[in-house]
Amino acid sequence: MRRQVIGLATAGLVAVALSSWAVAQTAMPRVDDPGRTFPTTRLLSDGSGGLVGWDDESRTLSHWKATGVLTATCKPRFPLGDEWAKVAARGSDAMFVFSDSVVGKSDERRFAVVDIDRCEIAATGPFPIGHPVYLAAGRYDWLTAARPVAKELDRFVFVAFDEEGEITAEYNVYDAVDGFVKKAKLNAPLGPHLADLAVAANEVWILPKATYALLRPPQGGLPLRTVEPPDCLAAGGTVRNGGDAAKIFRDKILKRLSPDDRKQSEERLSKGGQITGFEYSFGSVVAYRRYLAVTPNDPRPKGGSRLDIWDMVTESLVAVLPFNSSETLVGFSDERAWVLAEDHSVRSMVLPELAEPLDEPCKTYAKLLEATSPPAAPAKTVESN
Amino acid sequence: MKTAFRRIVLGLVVAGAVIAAVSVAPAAFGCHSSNGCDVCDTPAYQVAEQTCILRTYVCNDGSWTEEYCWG
Repeated sequence: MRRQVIGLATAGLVAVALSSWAVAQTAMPRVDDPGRTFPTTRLLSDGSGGLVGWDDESRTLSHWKATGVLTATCKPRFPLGDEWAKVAARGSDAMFVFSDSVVGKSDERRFAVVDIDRCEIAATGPFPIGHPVYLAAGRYDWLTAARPVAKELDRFVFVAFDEEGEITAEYNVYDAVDGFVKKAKLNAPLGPHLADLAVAANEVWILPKATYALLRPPQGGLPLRTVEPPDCLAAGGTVRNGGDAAKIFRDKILKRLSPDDRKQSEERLSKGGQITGFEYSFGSVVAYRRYLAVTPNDPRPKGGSRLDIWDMVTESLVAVLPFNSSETLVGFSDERAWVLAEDHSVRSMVLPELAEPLDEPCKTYAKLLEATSPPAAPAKTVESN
Repeated sequence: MKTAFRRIVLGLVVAGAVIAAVSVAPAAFGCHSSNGCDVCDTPAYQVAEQTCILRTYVCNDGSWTEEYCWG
């Protein structure tokens, strides 16, 4: 009898505990909560499957873990950047690089690292080199593609720097990137020389915007190495001018802008303003442990883009998936990808198991095209009366 | 007298070197005039996810061009 009573009491306690845990879980806001949108928030991978958000308007940082659940928010009491600020994240740390004029000094750049969980500045100092174009998390340090001041404006440098503000590594890939620009005959002064940086399998990889390729700059005593997708998956950057550029801008870019910027751009366009530009060979690159996820510019699949996942230990593709060109990949883990949709909401995309390298990526791609191509129009029939 | 002359010559050489250095240094980011347009270079200012603005041209004839990069 006593045992039965204890058993019932234990079961009751477990049920209460489970139900309160479930309530707590459901009560926690999720990044992909229905109806939630992020029109003024920059969303970044935290490198561990979660996301970090920096809301330019409310000046608030948020951290969602890999499950999508919000774990911390922070409104730093420190001037962290203006419209020029660059942001990157690693775990619960967010790195900002911003104009020094924000703190009442010159036009130089400063960096600051915010520990979001503790909501405190973990490090700050002068940014070591010029103006950053991209920031990314290194393994223990931070990576940047920067335009050095008073050097050629089309030249970018790729470096790693630590939280003391010291450059810890320089990655010499200019000639390799320039080679891609020249090979593709991309006659535009700036955009084609851009490149993104990411760390996968403990190595730094640089992805040129001119051509879809992965460059491992010289490091650890190893020389430069170039990994390119098979020809069937190749993608390149495109210089856009005239009506072509204006159409892409109206169809794709305007929706991404903040409401204020959108209004201004629409006014300029309505008064005959022109758009020129450079469309990258890929949209995003996001790192997660040994993997790199890239969204190459590929109009062939339905949706107008692809999501390729590379295992950088074997330097091989492990997934080739359809992707919507109006959406942005902002994070991923080995279970799901986080995607910023056109309406500024975040959705979760379930990924296949990322185990074995694809034996024949071109065959996988052919199947993808077959599966996602629009259904053939029904054959016309002639009705006889 | 000789020392004063040397100083003047040295001063002229230094001034010349400074002028030469300034004149060969390319323009930093910011706005400048070119062929009737005010051109503003940016250090690839991010305006949205995977979208940056590289330059704007506002010309005397009232035309307006924005140079973007996007993915």
